[in-house]
Amino acid sequence: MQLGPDVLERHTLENGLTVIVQPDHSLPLVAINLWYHVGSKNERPGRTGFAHLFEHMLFQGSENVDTNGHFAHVQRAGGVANGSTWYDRTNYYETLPSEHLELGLWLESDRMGFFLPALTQEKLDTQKSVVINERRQRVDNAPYGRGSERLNELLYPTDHPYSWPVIGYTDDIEASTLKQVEDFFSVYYTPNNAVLTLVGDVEPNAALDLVGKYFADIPRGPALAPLAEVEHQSHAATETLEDQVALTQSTWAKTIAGVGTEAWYRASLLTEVISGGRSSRLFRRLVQERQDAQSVGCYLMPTELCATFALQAVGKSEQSAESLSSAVQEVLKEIRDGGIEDYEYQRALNAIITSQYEELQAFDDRADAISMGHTYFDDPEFAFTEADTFKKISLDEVNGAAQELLDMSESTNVVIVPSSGAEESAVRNEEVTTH
Amino acid sequence: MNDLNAATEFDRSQPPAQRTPRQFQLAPFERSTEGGLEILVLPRTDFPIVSLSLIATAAGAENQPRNRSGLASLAAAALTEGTSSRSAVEFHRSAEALGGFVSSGADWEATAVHAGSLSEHLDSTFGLACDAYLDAAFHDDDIERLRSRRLSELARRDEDPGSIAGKELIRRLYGRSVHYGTPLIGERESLEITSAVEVADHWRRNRMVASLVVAGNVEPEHVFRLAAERLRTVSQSEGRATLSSPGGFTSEAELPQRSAIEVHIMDRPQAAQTQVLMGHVGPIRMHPDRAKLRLLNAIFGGKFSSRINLNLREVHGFTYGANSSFSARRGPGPFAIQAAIENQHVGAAVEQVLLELRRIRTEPIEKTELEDARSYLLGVQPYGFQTLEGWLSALGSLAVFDLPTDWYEQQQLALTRVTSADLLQVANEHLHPERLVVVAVGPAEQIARQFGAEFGAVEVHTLDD
Repeated sequence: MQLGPDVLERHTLENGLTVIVQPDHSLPLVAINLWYHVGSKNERPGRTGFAHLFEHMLFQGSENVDTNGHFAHVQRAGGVANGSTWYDRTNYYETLPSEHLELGLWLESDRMGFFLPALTQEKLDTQKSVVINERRQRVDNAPYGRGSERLNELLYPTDHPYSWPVIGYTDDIEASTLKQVEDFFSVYYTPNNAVLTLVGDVEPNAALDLVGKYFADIPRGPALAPLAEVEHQSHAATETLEDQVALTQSTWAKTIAGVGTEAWYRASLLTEVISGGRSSRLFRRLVQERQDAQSVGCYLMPTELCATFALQAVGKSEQSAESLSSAVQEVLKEIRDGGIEDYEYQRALNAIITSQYEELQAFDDRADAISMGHTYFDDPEFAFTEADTFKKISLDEVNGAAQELLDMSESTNVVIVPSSGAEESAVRNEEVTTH
Repeated sequence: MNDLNAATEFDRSQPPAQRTPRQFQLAPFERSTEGGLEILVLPRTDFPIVSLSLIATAAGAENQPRNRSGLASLAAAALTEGTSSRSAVEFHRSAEALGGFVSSGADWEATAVHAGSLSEHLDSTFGLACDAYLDAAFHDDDIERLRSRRLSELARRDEDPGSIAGKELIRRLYGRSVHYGTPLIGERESLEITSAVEVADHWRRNRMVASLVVAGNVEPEHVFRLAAERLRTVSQSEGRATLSSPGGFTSEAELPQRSAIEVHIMDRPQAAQTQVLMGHVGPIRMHPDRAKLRLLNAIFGGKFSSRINLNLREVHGFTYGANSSFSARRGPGPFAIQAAIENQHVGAAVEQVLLELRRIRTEPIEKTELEDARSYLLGVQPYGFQTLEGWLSALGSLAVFDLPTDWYEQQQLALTRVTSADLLQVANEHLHPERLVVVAVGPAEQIARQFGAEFGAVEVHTLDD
């Protein structure tokens, strides 16, 4: 298989739908991946969780597909399907035996073009209940569940679209109406706000003919105005929550520029340098040598408007929040004062190169990466060349990022400590996968 | 050039015509055995990466000493915590310097060292995997560090609803004196008394029967050469021995016996939801009914459009999702059903599961439902072979369970032959609603009264028990 651009075709239909095809005949499968450029950032306070609830509704049938028919058709054909909602986008995908490509296109086009006639209050009520149970499972009844939800509430102003969780708040989910579902669909679920990527055992011309057959008559939707910017900056804030947990967890976070910017890439490389693998500085010093932490890691959100850079540590049994914090701060100071070693920098670059290949193996992962590159950067080949972007970052630049990001004096810190009668409880700000 | 915008008249109300499924052919792989060493290699050139597992096929938790739960898992973790020539830090620095990794772990059957890297670095990555396998040091301070982390991990799990439910269910089904009755990671009491000498002994006694599984951008001959250089001690060992009592027991008569449903509520007064896990002891992995059981489970709770998921989630809205599984082990693993249920509907949800269990044992499965499940299982098979990790898992199973090379083709064929009558027969033989153990982790005051008379005595346990 070639990874080069010559085997990746991109076309745009008159209604604005972008179609990308990458043939790969190594297995008799096709991955169908559809990104709509709408997520929880398009909600507003009081209506949170709507994009995700809507994603559930899109599995409830359309004019020609029965309630629960989507999964039934896909599984009957020997395929798998799902969807997920993120701050910036919502994706839907199927991987099918490639002879069933047309079935997948029929299903996706029916809900893009003919969703509203099948909408009922009963379906909405059931899915509200399912989603509220999902929230209980992921957040309210999960150890540490409220942690990163609370972190984002503190880190961002209340009107910033990343200040509320993707899954939303229970009261807002309960208050959702059918009219809101209809309006959301009409504004955001349009061909001109979507990209359809096909990867796998397909012949491009035949596949494109089928895409034209099923999608060309779906009308274009309204043009979307960009979201207004909400001013914000990293600031010092600390909050301690009690939860029914055994080990103390502490998370420090800052905001930086969004995914794809130079600052984001520098932060991303720094994240790999200090917390990727068991030889990384944070694991080695805090878990292996000093044994001050049960686990430690950094994460960086791949979000468009701006991004959260965070460091999270979990203490050992009986360890206090204060001793965990001082251990982490000491090691961060070691990194800032002594700098990152060349071998640490090289290891991180090598890990990124290896993982680029690993992440492109599966057709569905590759299709998703292509849709992401198109949606965020107008570059469907982005995932095939991203390692080169990292290679252009120098060790000095990573050390510069470390100076800026690893000084936690201006960070937002949420600490979760054990409590015998916990009132608070879990979310990690991970994408919310429906099924 | 395609005209993507040409409007075509067609009838959208019908799905596209059914296509004839194609038979999936597994890509060819090499397999050979010499003494105690089996080698399986899947060459694949589309990406410049390689993954490997070096598996001690008899060094799983089912072969650890009695009253030493967690020992096999601890021993497996210790393999990558330092060798006679490198500390843990030096070991991982070497493994990760070029973008690769070496890790290790144990399950019920086996212990494995896993590694991956760019294929140009295979030789050094393989060398480090062999160092871990053959030359792990088991120093006292390395074992103490692991023990300390594991005790903290146990404390964490004691507050996790899913872990609490899992631990209680297996304890009730098997009793704590057999391996399957305690978690793989072990329990506090056994971890605290397990010595570094015992850990090293377990490993050294069990590592000489091994399988090397390699997938990726490599020639099989190259793998055979590497193995000949580094794994001679294994290939010159005597070979496989049969384990007499997988799971730590020889007969199900040794396990707790029950003739009625039991309900155990693990009280968490503040819980926002109730974690429900129920089950009974199930069949062994190599049971002749395996293909029938896979189909039965797909219909009952093994896929999104299964009966219990549609019932509990889509009809009643009680949960985000419900599923079931047969745990495929050498010995009789558990059959389990799990869902996180809204507190006020726990009793009703468990009743619905019981109804579904009884229904699948009494009503023949209709042709459409059977065919849908069959085409699902047949169709998704290639999905697992997209990645090198998927290949390692599939080939590793051949090695660990001593399966024939055409196992996956045989399973496909077996699936095509299952009838509705077969499913009724295996549902009656292998599903036992009358002796189900139900564990519910949630607010006892609210949920205990939801269980009606048919559930018998409902036992409430505080979490300090």
